[in-house]
Amino acid sequence: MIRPNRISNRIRRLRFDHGEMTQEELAARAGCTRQTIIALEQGKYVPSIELAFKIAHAFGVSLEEVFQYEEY
Amino acid sequence: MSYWNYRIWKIVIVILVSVLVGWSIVYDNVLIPVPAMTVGIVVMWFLKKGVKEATLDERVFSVADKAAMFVFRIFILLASMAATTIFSLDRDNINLEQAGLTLAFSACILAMFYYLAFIYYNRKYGG
Repeated sequence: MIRPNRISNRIRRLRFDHGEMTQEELAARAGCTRQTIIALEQGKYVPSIELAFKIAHAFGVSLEEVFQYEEY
Repeated sequence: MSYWNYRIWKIVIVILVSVLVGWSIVYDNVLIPVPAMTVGIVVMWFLKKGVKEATLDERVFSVADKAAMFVFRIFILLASMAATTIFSLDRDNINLEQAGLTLAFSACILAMFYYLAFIYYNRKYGG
């Protein structure tokens, strides 16, 4: 049986850890809209690989530190 | 320019163009509508270029794709059902028959263009 998978993230935690970066600042660094950052933090949207890498690069960390793959 | 200011200017331009087009319709002026809409589009394009924040990204396109697919499917289904219903109602009523034909051909043409676009993008993305 195939179990549903889920991608979670620590974007909100990382924003606060990086000098309380605002959603707008992160959106500007990642080249996306603030609404997309909001949707990501709420777990309502799964980004493309390109956007995921851009967000990780904006924080200066690896991809796995931002996004986690969980299986139910 | 901030995105908020851009939205305000967009509303102003839309109102201005709408007023011009409406005035043209009332006074049967054929020279105003197309240039007015063209100038409005060009002005909005320049304004959007000056916006500092990102206004479109992959999520917006993803949402637009889903919305378009949903509307397309609903329209094809409803138009087909409406057309067949209209054809079975009263064949002697010219207006009903024209409405049914319009709906039927609209659904067919839309489906045909969707099929062609699907073939194009399928090949473009390695299908």
